[in-house]
Amino acid sequence: MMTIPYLLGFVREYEESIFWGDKKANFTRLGKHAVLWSGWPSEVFPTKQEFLLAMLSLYEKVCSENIEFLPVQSGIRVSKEENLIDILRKYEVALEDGFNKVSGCYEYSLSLHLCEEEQRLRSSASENQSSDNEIRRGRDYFNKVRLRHKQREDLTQQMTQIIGMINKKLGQCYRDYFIGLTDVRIKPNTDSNKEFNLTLEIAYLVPIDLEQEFHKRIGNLINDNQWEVTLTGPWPPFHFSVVTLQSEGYIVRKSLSWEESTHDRK
Amino acid sequence: MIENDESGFQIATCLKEFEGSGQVERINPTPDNADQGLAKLVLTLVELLRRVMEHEALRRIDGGTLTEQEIEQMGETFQKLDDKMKEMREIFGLNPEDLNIDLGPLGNLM
Repeated sequence: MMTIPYLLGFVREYEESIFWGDKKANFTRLGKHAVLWSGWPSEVFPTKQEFLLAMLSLYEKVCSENIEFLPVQSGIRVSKEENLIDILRKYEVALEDGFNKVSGCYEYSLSLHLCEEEQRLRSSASENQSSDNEIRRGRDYFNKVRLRHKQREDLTQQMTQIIGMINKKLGQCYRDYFIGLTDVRIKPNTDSNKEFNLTLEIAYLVPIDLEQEFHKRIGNLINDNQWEVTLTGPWPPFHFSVVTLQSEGYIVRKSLSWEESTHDRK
Repeated sequence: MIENDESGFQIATCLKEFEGSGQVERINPTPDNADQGLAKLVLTLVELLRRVMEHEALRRIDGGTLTEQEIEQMGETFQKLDDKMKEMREIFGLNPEDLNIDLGPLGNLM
């Protein structure tokens, strides 16, 4: 049965074998770029846990050997191996730009558990809870909604200030950073006695030669503030891998039309 | 009309029967949360529509285009919908933050 390629990522100027779990991953090359792929995870691994462990070992190898690697969004596959060449041709420039951007860097993920802000949220949740009980009129509902929006705006503003402060302290220790609104995880419960979980998550692209200084400055930030911090890494540059793949059908159609138009011009 | 009645359980039963009938592929085929697959999708879409309509309602209130009676009726309806959504989430064991869809490079839906 023909294997349907499941894409793991792209590499640049790398010739040696890479294993995905105990399976040797495949390479399809075009010039100095190659796409790393294997079979569909559920066909290769008997359990999800083994699949996740295989991904982890792949990332550890990539980071420990400084392999130039651009991860692909999970779940990407193509219908046949031949289409991988079209992908490499189509994205040649984007891949080169992407590799240049992250070259010599690792990604680190910083999670800040914000205790003080949680206290404030817990207090306002208690107020909201009592106001929920007092909603007797339709207009009260909209007042509650406005209050919720205001709290969200205030929280976003606080997060922006915290991020600005962190980045200022880190100075030149990072090349780029990434944070999305959804990374501010707020898990309120209807029972205000339960714990909130207010976590700010930031991804940093850190040059390899500045790793030690980056760790040192993060340590200073932890000591200076009442934060619980989780720092993980190094990781491949997940949040800085800017190559966004278009649908396979689009790529194949465009490559065919390019060949036809070139033939017409001759 | 959204009323405080047994409709939540009836809707939940219909969703489970529909997904179990084999006419539609399981959205999230794991043994642990097989019931949640279609329900999660449906409730996520309802939540999305609720937020959009809520946003539009606030815009019209601020614009002064609604009468006081219309504001009252809308507020009561939204409150009932909120209560019904809580009921449906409890039936399927879902938290508010579970009602979201990962759109990959585009981030989460909500």
